[in-house]
Amino acid sequence: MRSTRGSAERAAAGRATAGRAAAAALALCSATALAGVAATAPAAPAASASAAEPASLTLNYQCTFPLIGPQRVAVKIDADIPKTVTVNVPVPKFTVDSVSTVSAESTRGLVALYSKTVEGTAVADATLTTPDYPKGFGAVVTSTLEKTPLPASGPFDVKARGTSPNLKFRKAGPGRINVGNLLLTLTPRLEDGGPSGLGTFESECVQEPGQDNLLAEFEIVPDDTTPPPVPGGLRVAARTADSVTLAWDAVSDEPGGSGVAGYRVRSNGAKTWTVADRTELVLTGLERGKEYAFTVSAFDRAGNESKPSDPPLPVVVGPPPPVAYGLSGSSFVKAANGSVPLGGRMGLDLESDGGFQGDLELDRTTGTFQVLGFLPAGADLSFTQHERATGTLSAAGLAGTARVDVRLPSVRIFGIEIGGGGTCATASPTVLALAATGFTREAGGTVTGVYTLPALQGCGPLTPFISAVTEGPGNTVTLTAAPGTAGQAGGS
Amino acid sequence: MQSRFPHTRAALSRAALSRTRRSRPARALTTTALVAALAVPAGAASTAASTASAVAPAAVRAAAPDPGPPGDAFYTPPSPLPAGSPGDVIRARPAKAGPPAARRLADAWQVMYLSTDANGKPNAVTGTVLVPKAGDRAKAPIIGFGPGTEGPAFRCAPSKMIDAGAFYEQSALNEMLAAGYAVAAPDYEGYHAQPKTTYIVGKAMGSALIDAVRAAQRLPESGLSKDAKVVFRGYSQGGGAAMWAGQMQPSYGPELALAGVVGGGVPADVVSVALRLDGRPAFGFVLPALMGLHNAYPELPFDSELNDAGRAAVKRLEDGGCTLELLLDYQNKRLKDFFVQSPLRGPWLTRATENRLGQAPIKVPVLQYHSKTDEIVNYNQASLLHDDYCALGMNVTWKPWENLSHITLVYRGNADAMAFIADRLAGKPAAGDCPAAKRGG
Repeated sequence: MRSTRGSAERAAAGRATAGRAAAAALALCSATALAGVAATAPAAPAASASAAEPASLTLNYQCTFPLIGPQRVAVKIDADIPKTVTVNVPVPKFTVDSVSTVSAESTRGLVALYSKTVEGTAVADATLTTPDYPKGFGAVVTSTLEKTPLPASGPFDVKARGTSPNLKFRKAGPGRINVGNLLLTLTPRLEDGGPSGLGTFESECVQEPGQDNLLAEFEIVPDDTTPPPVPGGLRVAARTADSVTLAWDAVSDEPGGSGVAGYRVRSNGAKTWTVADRTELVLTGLERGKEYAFTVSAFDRAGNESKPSDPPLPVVVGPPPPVAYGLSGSSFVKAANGSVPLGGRMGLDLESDGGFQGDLELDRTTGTFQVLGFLPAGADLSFTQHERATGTLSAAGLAGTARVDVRLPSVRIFGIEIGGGGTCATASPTVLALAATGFTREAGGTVTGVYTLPALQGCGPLTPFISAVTEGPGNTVTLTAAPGTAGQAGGS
Repeated sequence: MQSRFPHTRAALSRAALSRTRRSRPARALTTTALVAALAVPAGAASTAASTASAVAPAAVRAAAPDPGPPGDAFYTPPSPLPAGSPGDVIRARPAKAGPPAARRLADAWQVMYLSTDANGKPNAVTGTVLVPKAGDRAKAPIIGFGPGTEGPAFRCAPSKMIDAGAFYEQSALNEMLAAGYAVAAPDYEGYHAQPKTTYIVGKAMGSALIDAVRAAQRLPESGLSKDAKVVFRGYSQGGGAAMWAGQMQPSYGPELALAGVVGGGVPADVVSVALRLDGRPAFGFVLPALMGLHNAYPELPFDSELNDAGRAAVKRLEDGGCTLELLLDYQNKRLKDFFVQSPLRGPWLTRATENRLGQAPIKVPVLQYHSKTDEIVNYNQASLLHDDYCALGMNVTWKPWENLSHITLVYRGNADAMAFIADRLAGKPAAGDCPAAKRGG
């Protein structure tokens, strides 16, 4: 049964990812990841069976040079070594870089021979300990030294680069690489480019005792072609203003498999985030209000990946955009014993924690009342928002408080204007306590409230009379809010 | 070490004791002891004490030679010296042929063998025998290789350098071994604790090199033949040794099948070389040369000629000065920095002249090469040697080089040397290029 990744693909992935540490970290996000989208990466990167892990080791050697005798050479070795390799698959070749610091005394000897440059090769003994060879077997890495100019005096560094030998393992299990002794073959050259009096010579380098010469540990994994099961339970575990934490249920690889190495979360089938050893991912920098559809899959150490979870989890990040509603309803003014139709609009700026700030705009309207029980009265009313409404919108519905200044441009008895005008208004803002159970952002709902009309002022000589028949508690308002901006006065 | 020949031991021991205890205040004692030894009656004793050639009945070529004491004590000659012929192996132990490529090419031994000092007296010299692993050893040619200057301290001994992988002429050794040649490389006289090297003293070097070849042939493990073709080769001090061995071979080593001699950077005339280095960067080579002459000829006034700085320098050199120190630590010094007055006068000049090359012919073709800009061993005295050799009617191929320092030619002359050796071992005649006018009658 073929796995979702062929061995050639794995080898190619190995070659592609065997690079410097930065390249290894970048391998966590797919090539399609866009700038600005960040994921909180876990500590241990392991995107695939061939991911490289940087290994670094500094060792001191005693190298015997002609004329000079034994000298210390400090060698710093850097290599990106695959963290896991699959049995029976040739290990992708990796580069071994080294920098050797040659002592001032060595420089003295080389300069005494009029040498200007040094070049050559370095052959390093390495011991690989694996389940195939539990007592270790000897491998050799040959590096070419960069032709290096010698300073007039003092120590100097020689860089070298080599590649790993051909390696293939039969048994799964842990492996490690220890570094042994070196053999340098060196040719110092004079200004004329020809060899010095030493010609080409060998220098044996023996590791000084008491050092840890472990270069890297790695895992040889079985030849696994079965992907792990699809993870379930993908959900939003937490939100903040601009981030979302996704979580899902862990899965295990099939018995005898190479083991789950990590999970991949994708959004809208395009962007990919990879995590290892965790079932949680914090995503920041997502587009506010955009509808994302997330899936999660699991992959094992051999690089087999499950299908993505189905159906995708829809998520909208951050507070929704502002929303506007048309309002349509009426209010009953108790003291005036009459209703006034209301129409207008309401805009809500929603926070992600459920709070909102809003604007309530009510249109000028006319109402008929029966004052003192028998007098037919009419009044025009206009409204101005005194300050922004605040409230909350939750699963329970909407609740909030609006503060509105009510003006009466015209008051009439028997159709005859008795007061009102531009200066006729409530002495203090009317506080509307509004509630709407079942209100949703998407569909709106019916908002009701109870309010007290404050005293009126500036309505003319009959202000006391007009105020007396309007002010007071017990007024009700009912408004139907529908998404959109149109609002018709009317309704009950 | 026990002498195998007790009947000569008594006489030899007195002479040997006086020779090996060659401390400076005891110079007079040496002469007296020698006279006393010579005065002892009984033919066998006096003959053994007074001649340099073989006298004792059975040569010291047993089945497996004594490995000698371990460590540095290997280098201390036994007292008394065993009886035997020059070239007899006194002790031998396996050693490394050098770094890994050399070890793959050849087996090696450190050896101590009987030889002869500049005064014609028996001495013991150490060295290295290297034999290629591949090929028929009984047919392998033997190159008597004179190492170049390593320095007067014990730690500088060529055999130690080779075994440690620090021999600066390893490239030449490897080329010869790869070509299938065995190599016999003496340390030269005097490398042991409290060293007494006889640096540049031609007569001591010549016998040390000839006897190194004999020791290689007589070492049972080598598998080499006494009929092997032989070439003497060396550069700098080694070039001097090769030429001296060539000059001495007809009388001192007549049984060797010598086919040719190669000498580069040859110091033919130590006085000329030393005087030209006074106040120059390579002055460091002068002090060991004077120390060497004095060690060979203890009667030469030395301590009285040194000032405090000189005594300190001599001690420093004997304690640890090798080639690098000679190159770097005495730059631009002068004789007058170390001597109350220049020692190069009177008896010194006499001994130096005795050890000047060019006074006896080499009977086989010679390759001599030298850099015209040699800053250590001046070209002029080498050119004069070339003239002397041509006047002696020798077959000399002469190769001067342009614009190379002394030490660079250590390596760059190797290709010519190997080509010349190959031709001589193949029996090809050498054209030689002595000008007709310069050739002797």
